[in-house]
Amino acid sequence: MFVLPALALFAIFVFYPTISTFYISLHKWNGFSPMRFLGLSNYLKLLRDPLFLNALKNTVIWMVLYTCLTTGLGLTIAVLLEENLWYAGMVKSIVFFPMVISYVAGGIIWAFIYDPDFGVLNAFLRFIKLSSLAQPWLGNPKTALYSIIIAGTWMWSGFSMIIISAGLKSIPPQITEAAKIDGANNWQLFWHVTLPLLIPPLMVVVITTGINSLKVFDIVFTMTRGGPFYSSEVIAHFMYMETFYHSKMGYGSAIAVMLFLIVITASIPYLKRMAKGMSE
Amino acid sequence: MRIKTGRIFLHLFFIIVSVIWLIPTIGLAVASIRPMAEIVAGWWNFSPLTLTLKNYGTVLAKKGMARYFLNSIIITVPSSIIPIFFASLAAYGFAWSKFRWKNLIFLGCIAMMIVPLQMVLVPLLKLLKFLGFLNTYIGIILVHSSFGLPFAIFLLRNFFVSIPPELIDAAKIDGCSEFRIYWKMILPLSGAALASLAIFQFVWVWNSLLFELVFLKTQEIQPLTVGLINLKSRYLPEWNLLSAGSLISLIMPLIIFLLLQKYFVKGILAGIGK
Repeated sequence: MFVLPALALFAIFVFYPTISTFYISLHKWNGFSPMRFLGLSNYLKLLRDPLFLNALKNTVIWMVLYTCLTTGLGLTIAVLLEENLWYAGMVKSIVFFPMVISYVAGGIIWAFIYDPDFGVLNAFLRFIKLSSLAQPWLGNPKTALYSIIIAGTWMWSGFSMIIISAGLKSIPPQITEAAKIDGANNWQLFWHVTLPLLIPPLMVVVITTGINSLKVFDIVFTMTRGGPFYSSEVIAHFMYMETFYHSKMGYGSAIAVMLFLIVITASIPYLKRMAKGMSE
Repeated sequence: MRIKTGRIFLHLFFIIVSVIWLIPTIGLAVASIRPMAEIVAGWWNFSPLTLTLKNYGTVLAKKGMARYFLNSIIITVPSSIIPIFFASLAAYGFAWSKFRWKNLIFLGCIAMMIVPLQMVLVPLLKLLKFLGFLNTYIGIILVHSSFGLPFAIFLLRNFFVSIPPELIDAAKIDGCSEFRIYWKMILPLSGAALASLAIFQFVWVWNSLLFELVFLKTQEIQPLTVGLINLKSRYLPEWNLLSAGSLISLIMPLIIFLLLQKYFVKGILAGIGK
């Protein structure tokens, strides 16, 4: 049977652990001493844990801002690149490039930009006489979360640009020509012709970045470790800290299950799409 | 006249976009070849200007970057080949064989693509410890190989289905075994798809952090991502070393990007079902 080797690997290293996490989440366990059954009390505790609720809030902020920013930027760049520019390929490569580097490297690149003393951002603000805005971007609880989201946007706008670009290529030129002949200006053309035709790729982009934003971990771990004062904490990172720094394996597993449930809920349209693609 | 000003704004927009997307990496590259004493005054400040490769020497020799680099290769190469081999076999099965619950099992596999890694960390830690694979190359390679499967199976199955069934039927009539058909016909036909996948998986594993943080505890076997985290002390970042280290870590993806961008983009577009 051709599928057996893959299924075996998959069952042992993906499927079994996923199920097992549900089981562990019903226990109190520090990783060494025997597990103690608690029932659902980890979950009840979680729903009243201000640190979890804070991480949840920040994750939602991530989802909304990150999805809007990467989709908006990707769309703008992709649409404007259709204007017959000799450097279109170059711009695409430049914007796409951060997608192939690690979040760790990207996080370090941006931590350097945000550095209060040697960073280019504060130097630039001082240069344009806005010194009052210069600050330790990652050290200030008011700005840390948003600074990381900007870094993430820099890394992932290339994704939406590529997909929307491919979507634009598949629009038959006759349609836009016809609209132009009917006297539509550029704005009307975009709003009434191009954008409605772009809805399928836009859906893909929004769903994919939405799901990714819920799982964001690497870049937060690299740049701030959730700090200062939990101001940039997100669920995936909170789970890691509780489980492996504070050795609360049971509680951490409950956080993982919550994250899993949130991701599954957000993925329903995606899963439907997959199932539909199958039956075709 | 109106059109011309529009054009100018368009160019201006793309100049700004390019600058914002390039400056971060350029800054890092410039800082990596200058001494810390000069970075303190800003990497954009070019007087005085001393260019040196000392930072690279230091991180490679004294900060373990050479070892981390080697570890990244040792982990990433098998982790990119193994899952694609198993996935191509499975995809062949899902595309052409008939067995019970085929579609259900396939969908189940695919659905696992969205599971957050956090969902498997604790049991996997236990399992790897039990198997004696904790803190070993083979452990992390097995984990990456398994997690690479769903995407690879999904992509390859969709590719295999597009191969005309007459070809396979003809081969069967000629008396070819299923494995021969897979090995001699299907694999050679799917060279481009396999290459796309391999590149994708390579970059994914090369850049991966979370599994490595949890399953690899000693510096002797940690890859570049964890190495960079080790290098980044929280309070007094040594930007000259950090920038050199980061550049070493992104050389590999950069080369792949420059040489094989087309395959990479193809992989992304195929992944979303285009």
